[in-house]
Amino acid sequence: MADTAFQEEDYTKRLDWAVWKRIFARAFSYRQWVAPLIVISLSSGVLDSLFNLVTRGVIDEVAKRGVDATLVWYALEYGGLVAGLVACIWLFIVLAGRVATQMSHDFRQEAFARLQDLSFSYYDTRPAGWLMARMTSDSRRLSDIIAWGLLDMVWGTTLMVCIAGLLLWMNWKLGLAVLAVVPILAWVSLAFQKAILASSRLVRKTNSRLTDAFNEAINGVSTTKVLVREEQNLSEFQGLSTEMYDASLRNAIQSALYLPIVLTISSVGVAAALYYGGMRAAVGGLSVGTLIAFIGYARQFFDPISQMARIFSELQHAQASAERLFGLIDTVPEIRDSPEVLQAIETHRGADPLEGVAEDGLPDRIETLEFENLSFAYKEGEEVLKDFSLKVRAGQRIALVGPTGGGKTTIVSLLCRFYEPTQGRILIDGVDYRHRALGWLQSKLGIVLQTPHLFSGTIRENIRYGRLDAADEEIEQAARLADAHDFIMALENGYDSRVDKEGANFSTGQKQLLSFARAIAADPWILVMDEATSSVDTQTERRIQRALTAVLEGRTSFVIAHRLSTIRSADLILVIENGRIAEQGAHHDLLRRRGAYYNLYADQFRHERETEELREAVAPAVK
Amino acid sequence: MESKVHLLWRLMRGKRLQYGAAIAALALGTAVSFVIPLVIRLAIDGVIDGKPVHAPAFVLDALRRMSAGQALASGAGAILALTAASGVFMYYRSKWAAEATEAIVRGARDRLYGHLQRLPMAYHAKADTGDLVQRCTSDVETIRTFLSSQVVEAGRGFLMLIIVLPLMARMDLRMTAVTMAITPVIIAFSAIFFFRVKDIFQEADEAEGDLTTVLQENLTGIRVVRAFARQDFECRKFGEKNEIFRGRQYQLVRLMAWYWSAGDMICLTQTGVTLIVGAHWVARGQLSLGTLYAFVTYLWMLLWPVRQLGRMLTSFGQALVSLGRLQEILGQPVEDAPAEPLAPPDEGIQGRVAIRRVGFAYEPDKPVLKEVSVDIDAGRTLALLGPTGSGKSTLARLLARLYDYQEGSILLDGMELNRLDRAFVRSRIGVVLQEPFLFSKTVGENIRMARHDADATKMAEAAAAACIDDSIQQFERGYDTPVGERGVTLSGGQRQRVALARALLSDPPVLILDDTLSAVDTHTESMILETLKARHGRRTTILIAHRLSTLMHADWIVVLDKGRVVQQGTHQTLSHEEGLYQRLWRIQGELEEELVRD
Repeated sequence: MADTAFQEEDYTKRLDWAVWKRIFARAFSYRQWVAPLIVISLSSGVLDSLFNLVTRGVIDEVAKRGVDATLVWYALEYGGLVAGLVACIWLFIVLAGRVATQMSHDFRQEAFARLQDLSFSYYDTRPAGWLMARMTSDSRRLSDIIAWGLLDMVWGTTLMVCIAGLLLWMNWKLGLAVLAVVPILAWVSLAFQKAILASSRLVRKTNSRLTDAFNEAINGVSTTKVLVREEQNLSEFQGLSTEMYDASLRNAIQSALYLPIVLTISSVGVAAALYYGGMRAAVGGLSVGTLIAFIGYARQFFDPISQMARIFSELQHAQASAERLFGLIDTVPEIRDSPEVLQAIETHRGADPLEGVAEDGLPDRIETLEFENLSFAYKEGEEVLKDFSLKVRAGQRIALVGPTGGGKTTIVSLLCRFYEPTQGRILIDGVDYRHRALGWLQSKLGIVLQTPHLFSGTIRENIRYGRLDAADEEIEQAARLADAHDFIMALENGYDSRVDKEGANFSTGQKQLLSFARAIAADPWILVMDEATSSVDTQTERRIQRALTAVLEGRTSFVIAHRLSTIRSADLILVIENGRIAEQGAHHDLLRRRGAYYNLYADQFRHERETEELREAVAPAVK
Repeated sequence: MESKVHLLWRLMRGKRLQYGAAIAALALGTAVSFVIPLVIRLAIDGVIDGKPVHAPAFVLDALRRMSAGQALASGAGAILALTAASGVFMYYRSKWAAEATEAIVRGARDRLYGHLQRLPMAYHAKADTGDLVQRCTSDVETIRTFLSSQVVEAGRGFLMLIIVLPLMARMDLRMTAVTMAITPVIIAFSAIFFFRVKDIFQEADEAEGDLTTVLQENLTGIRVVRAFARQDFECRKFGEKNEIFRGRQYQLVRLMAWYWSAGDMICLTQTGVTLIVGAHWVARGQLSLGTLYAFVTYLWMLLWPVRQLGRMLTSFGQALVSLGRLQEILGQPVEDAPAEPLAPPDEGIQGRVAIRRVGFAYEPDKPVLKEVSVDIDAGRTLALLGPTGSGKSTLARLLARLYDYQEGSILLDGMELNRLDRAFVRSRIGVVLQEPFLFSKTVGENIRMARHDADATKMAEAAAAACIDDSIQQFERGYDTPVGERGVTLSGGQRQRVALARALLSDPPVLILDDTLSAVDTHTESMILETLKARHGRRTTILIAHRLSTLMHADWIVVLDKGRVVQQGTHQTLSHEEGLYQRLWRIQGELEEELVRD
């Protein structure tokens, strides 16, 4: 679904040696498993080729010596082969499995770590679904092709070389006759495997469209009903399900054709062996055992060829997966500590942590924040912030108000250094924040988002996210301050209650209170808050207002404000319009101006009062 | 509820014969492929060894007249021809099985889709979308996998046995016993293994699910992660789950290693025993070489399907579970048709609505509407006002017959609503929902949704009336711009206006706007209200809104609270009557007071 928003070629046509060199280098780093895997694959190819030889021996022995034939040795030989092959099979599955699972594990871990460092501008252009696909299907596909593909290649090649050698050794003329079909077999197999792979991709793509259609049908069911669209929708869906039918059938028929055709081709080898071998055997030039071995080998060729054809057809897709995965791992975060800052951090790491000195060796405090002629554009040429300047002292509460898209969020994103200004500077006590450690700055910041995000786990874990070493009492204290303690205690398991995925089992109001508690636990110097606009019941609203006061108490704060109470209590109100400060000052001064702020305030006043009146009379307590 | 197997049987209706044909083709293909070892046996014993052989009279006749070279050449030719013939049968087996399966699956999908659309709102309100979609996709896929590979494959194992066993027994009974000795072991082994390994598969799936959850939450909450500088913590958290998942996967691989190696060992041992014991008898002259060859070949043909048996049983088990999950959807009753439907009037609907003492509850004992009575004359505008949860939207849903009222009556032009066909009611009483849904089609298609025959001019007029025409014109592809992920992302207000345009285009006799303008700014709203006035006198309009500016011009205003009508009147009367309307009306005054005080 999300893939469509950020589309790119599924695979590249040409084999890219640079990518494959990297893949091999990667495989080499697992050599403690890959080396034995290669040896085992080789051995199993050899062993596989020997069975027909034993059969030949048994038959010739019997044919030659009749009743006097001793079969014990052959039985032992056969038993030895079975034992050896079975051991090989066990080993190569375990080894290849080990390599594949370890490698995909490592790919995921590396990519995940990289994602933690990448700048937001990277996320802006890539939907979460796209990133998920890199982490799951690409890492798996690549690891599988490396481990299992390598195994099959080595096994298949060895087996084919051995069979060819044995055939030529037993009777080179007959051998050549049987081997004549191999190139045709290989060519046909490869062509089929490629076609089958292509059509199965189409099936998968159509399938994801089907999923979208079902999603839409269910989410839009009330709209469908009021528009009386059932028939129309169904007939559109039938078009899609017929497309799926066609695609699936095409894929199935290709597979249905493949096996008979390949088997028929390989039976040419069998027929050749029977005819030429039979002619010689009839005049005594060839033993019956050899003839049977020839027929057996002619059949045996088919399996490794079809396996290898399958792998070859997948190579291009594996390469595409590798390109995307390496692309993600190789991306350099746009925002990171400069070499100078890294140097400073390195210098100060060894020394005992000094009171009042941050990790980058500069003072561990923030007295003033200065925005100096900031401009910013997410896309080139589309400035969302123009020449923005502001000076803030520690402890000040700044309220940002104004229309959506005016640039309020951009200002706080720049402050958090999620983005860096395209022009101008942000100074912390006179030092450009790009000269300070990123980790230091962000650890002094607290953020409360408009849509609170919780992680699955327990309530306690979610609050502790603010400060990992917080004691249970401190967590409880934070919850109390955020007015969340009561509702938490009302839950069956209190602080150990489960939080579902995305906090789905809590109401919006509750999630907000929990995210406040988390921010309080973190005890940041600077708090950035995007006030929620969603309507909650009166009681929750009151709780939220109380909690808000507790969160903002004694900190420098930047609030994208909607509530009148929050706006009024700010030390400085900035009206942001079209990327500029339209008005700034304290509440009373701004009102007196009868400008943009006055209108905003009047609108908000009406809205807030109306909402208050229209709230459910008997407000249910927080769910 | 019918049994799952019965549902499967019913879904297969019309395609059962085709499966029969596929199985017949498989039988023929198998039979033909079994002749090949016989040909080789004949060649080895009769032609090369020159021993007397058992074969049909015509074959022996022909052989007698041929030289050795000719005989071998015909043998080789026969192998080719038989392989090709068997291939043709095998192709048809796969083709027919695929056609039948895909047709069944398509039928099942269409049925599910149609059924879902017709299930009552009461069902959808409780159902979990993700779960429903999962059932319609993954569960259908599970059934498809079973149908496509296992139905015919089940026939194969069975056929193999009934064709090949007599054949083998006729050649040599003792040898047959030796060849089949270990078959029960492998069947039992395979079945038990797949039964046991099911839990491990599930564990691995769950571990992957956990991993995905951490990843997903990290990606959606990346701002929170950065805000608290928890990158290392997140890496550790992910690492733990990653480790567990790797472990589970590896555990699975090791189990499979045991399965495949042990299975191979049993099969190879069986082949070895057959070969050595057979050779022993050949040496004693009790068995011909060719027969030995045929036995060894048959053994391989038999072993493969037998080894698949465990997988087949598992697949059947999974398909049954999935069938049960589909049955839970298909077994739900759809929206019922009225028992004695009223015939719609010939002259069309005027738009007169009379609501009489209507009562309704979503859940028993929790009434949402109580004794609600409201009258609207055709062509008039009615406004509904009330706090959240007072029952306004519920009333709108009852009018569109999304739910059926349980007490009282609603009359449309004097006809009882519950006795009119739902489609008829919905096409006469249009509702624009609070959070309108736009389909992933173009903007134009979305507007034309209920009126496909409307031309571009009509569409643009409706859009202009909803004050969205200008915005649409600004899109690069205008009305042909796709909505949603593949195209533009519309703001809440824009979505509402597109939905309004959609309703205005179909121009129903009664139009209900359920808080439709909540995300539209005040200025645009007043422009829209101005255009809506054109409907006045011609069409009935019901407005549900919060802003007084939206409501005050209505002909009649009804205030709902806790499911009851608490006040009704015009703007004139209500603004002089104590109550919600008056309190809202006074806010403007309060504001001025507040501004003065400051």
